Amino acid sequence: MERIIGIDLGTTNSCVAIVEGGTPVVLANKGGYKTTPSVVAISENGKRLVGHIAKRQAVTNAANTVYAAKRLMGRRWDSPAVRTMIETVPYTIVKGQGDDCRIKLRDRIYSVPEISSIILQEMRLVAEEYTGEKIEKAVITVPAYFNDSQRQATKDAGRIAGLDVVRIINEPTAAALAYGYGREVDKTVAVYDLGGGTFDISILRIADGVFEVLATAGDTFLGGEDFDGRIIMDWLVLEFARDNQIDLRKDKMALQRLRDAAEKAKCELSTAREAEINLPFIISTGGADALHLQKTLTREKLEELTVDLVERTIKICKKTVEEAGEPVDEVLLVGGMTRMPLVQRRVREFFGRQPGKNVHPDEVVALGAAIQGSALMQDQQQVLLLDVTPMSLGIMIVGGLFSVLIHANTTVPTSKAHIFTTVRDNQTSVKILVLQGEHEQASKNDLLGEFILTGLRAAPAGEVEIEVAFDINADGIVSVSARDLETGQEQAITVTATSGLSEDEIKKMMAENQEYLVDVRTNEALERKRLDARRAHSEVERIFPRVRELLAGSDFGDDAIRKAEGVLNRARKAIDGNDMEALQTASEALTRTLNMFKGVVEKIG
Amino acid sequence: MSGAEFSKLGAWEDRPRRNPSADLTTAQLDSRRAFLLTRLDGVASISDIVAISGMIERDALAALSALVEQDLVQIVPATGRRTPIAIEAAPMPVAVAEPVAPPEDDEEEDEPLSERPGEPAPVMERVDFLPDFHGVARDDVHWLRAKGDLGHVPGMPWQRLGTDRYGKFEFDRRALLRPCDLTVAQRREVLFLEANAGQLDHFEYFNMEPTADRTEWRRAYFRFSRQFHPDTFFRKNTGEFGGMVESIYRRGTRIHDAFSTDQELRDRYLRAVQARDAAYRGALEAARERYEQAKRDIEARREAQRVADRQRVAARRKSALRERLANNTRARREVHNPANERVERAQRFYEDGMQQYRDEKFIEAAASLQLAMTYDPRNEAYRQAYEKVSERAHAIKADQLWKFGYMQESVARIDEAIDSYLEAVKLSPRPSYCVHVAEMMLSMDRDLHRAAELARIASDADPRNVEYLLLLGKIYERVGLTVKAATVLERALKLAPKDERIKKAQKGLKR
Repeated sequence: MERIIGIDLGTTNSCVAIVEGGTPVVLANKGGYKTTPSVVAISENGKRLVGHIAKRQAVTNAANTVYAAKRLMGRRWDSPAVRTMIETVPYTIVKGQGDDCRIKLRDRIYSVPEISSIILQEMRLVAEEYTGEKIEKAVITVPAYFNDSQRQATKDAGRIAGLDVVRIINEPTAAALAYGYGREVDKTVAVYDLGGGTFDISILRIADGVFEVLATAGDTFLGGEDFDGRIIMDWLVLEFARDNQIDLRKDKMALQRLRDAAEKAKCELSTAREAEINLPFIISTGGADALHLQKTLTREKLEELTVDLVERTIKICKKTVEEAGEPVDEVLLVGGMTRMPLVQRRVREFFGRQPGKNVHPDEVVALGAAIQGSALMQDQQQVLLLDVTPMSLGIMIVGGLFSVLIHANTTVPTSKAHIFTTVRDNQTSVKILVLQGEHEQASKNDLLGEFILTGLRAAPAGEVEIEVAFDINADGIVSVSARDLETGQEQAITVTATSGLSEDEIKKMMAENQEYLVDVRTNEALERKRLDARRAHSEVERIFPRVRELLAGSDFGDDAIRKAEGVLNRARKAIDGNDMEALQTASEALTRTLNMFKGVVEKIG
Repeated sequence: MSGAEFSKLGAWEDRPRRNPSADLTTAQLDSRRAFLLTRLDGVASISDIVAISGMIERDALAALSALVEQDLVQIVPATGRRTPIAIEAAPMPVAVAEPVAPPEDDEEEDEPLSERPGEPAPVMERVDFLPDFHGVARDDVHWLRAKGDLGHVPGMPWQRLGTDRYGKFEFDRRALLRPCDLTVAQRREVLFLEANAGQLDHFEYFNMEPTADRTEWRRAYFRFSRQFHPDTFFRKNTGEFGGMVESIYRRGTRIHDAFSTDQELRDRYLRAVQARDAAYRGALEAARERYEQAKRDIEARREAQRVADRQRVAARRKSALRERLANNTRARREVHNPANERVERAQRFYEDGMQQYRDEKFIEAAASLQLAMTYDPRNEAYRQAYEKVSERAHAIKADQLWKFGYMQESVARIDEAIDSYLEAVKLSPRPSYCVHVAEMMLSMDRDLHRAAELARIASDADPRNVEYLLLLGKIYERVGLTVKAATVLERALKLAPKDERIKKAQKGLKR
């Protein structure tokens, strides 16, 4: 049966899982790590680097190393979030054709989904390595508070990576799935998910294997990166500038080193009371002198720097709990940032209970995604997820106000109709602006699409009635129609979210990726063969002296030894070269020789 | 009602007779009228007919007048003394609504009343007059109305009476059989919800009892989701049900969303449904009360009528006897030979019948010839003519019934269709008819012995038809006559040694 993998595409780390014989497991990458940094870099010789390798070389290659690309996902060039990013990251963000953001690495410009696709690709290869099968389908998680275009961008990234994204599910929901999977749970669960880049809070009701999202909210621009930012910008850079009158932000390499150090210190402070930050030769002062940065960060200082960020999450929690309207029985902490003692303390205080310890904050989301993937393939589903639309949907009405038709947190699929009237005398057409968001001013919400219904009867204001109907299907695709109740005339659109990439661009990227994948795959096969041949080669060499001793003298023996020498020579050449076939032949010849040697040793020796 | 109602009948002494040109096959006849029709021989007077009918006098007269109105019966005025028909008006039971069987265990009580034709048995009026929001507080009505269809409380609870969720809902059998990955239970629920979305209240929609408990509500909603959430059908073929499932689930999520976010809506709706149910139960109780009362009233009136009837008949007989005695001499003088009259009449019917036969009106001809036979049973010519004609008539009648049955089948009234078909093959057992109805009975699992008999008739008529034998074999197998089934299949196999179906059937039999 086809298998569906679950991928947690995180801001700082990504993780892949699969359900094996009914049990979800997280898959380790080649380095043995269960999570892979979501970092992509292009090396000096144009090679693509992903994960740990990319992260390790970030300091020396800061301008060509992308991290936290997820924060740019589906965002418009002119949004404030992007503005902030441009100022703080060492890599170059440029404007794309569709008003989206692109990233310049070496001499090529990459779209954000493309960068993400490289990470997804890596996760896919991890899964293929593990299963030994080709993987083509995946469930990918996104922060619950991602809007339509961010979700679409994630889907596009999956497509570019050659994956059929069967479902996009929300990270907190996935965490709850993993928590409730395979056991009898009848509880209301709050999932507090503070990751590298985003914060989400979801409250779910779990019963009879059905997971209903009661309420969900979040902030797509609040996460570990912001905590790091506080340490760097509000403390390290400030202090350094005070002491040395030098702005470290101007130096990309220094910035990258600060970033690594800040993250390290932050992680250390989850267990220790103090962390040393020691960065020698952080910057040169023009002459031969160099300045060093040496500081001690205490847990208290860190908490002082970031307490407002934590309070922001608690404020969102409060609103969400009210909305859910049910007492919370259990709290789950998800995401690396929840290891911070301050976060744990505030969550405990707010919910009045100790957060559950039986989920792994870094792996649980991927596990949940894998569970959802396997559930979809089963005939009798163990779990059923009732996901919701995270934001309200509606249209703009007179006075620039936002009239909500489908409220946030409504289970999808759903549909809703409402009757509106004309507002001016003799109005013969109406413009329907489809919006998504929570603000009562229409202009403050995201515009999803628009269309015009014409041919209305000229009549006094308020006389002509127009029915506007919204519909969201299981994949979250929104369609809107408007109908003149008098004439039956109708106009409709299907709102297609865009990631800023055109269909042609995606196709082109898919093709490129396909080539890359073929390369990677052949390379891997070659390496495996090389390793086999090398192993056989050294084995033969090991027992060769003994065989030579035993056989020396006889005609047959001399002949055999000559032949064996030939085999060894050819094998050495094949191992050094890149010819798959030669390697194969050498490998086989070596095995034959080895068997012959073993036979000789057994019989004579 | 008064005597004037029966003016068409003339006098007690007049003689009703069948209208020979009337087409009885298409006539609308209830059991009473049909019964009376069989009693008419053209000789007996109205008074006699009423006496031998066993009905209450006025019912018999009413039926007779209806027959005259329908032109099925003609009245031959008596030559002698004519006593105008007039009986005093008797009170009739209250007019009742469209007849429906009472909902519970009343059938047995009904039996003794309908056994003999007489006054119509009382029927329970259907409680379907409840308008929307019946019994619901005015305040709630206004509030809910403003909520559009989410606030809509249907006037009638669906099947509060029965235990079956689907009640009398008729399923499209074809849709239930078409191939797709939904189970039959799922399909039933889908078709039911799709067809009745507007008639069900929200609790009925989720198949739950109205209750204020939030946990119960959620449980029902989760059960509903397990059935209809699109993920349940991921990678499955939902066929023509796909669209229905989607729209049903959308409605469900909308209701659930409104109920879980709008506390007031939930409270008011619940209150409205409970009030409505209480009102409905009250109305039902009142209707049942009225029904019982009407039954008692009718019984009392009927008893009184019976006494009056007996007295009146006795009085009339007495006066007739007295008159006959007085006219004795005159009566003896009149040459009146009823036997001759009957033969003449038979001859007349025979001639009519033969004329109709020549006009190819076979059914009418058969009716006329039957009458001729009735009047002169010893005439062999009549019997032969009748046999010849009746065969044709039966074939035509069977064709009509067959067509009617086919019509019923095409609107999925399978049981009724089978009844019509059976009627048709009883009249004319053509092999193709027999096989068709036998196949249907087999698939509906209905009266399989009769089906076997039909299949055997077909196969006897056409012993070399493999299909017939195969069907017969299957039916035998189903009713457990395995030995017979084996023999039949053996015969079939001899005729078509390569037929896989027969081999399969034999294999199945062995198992």
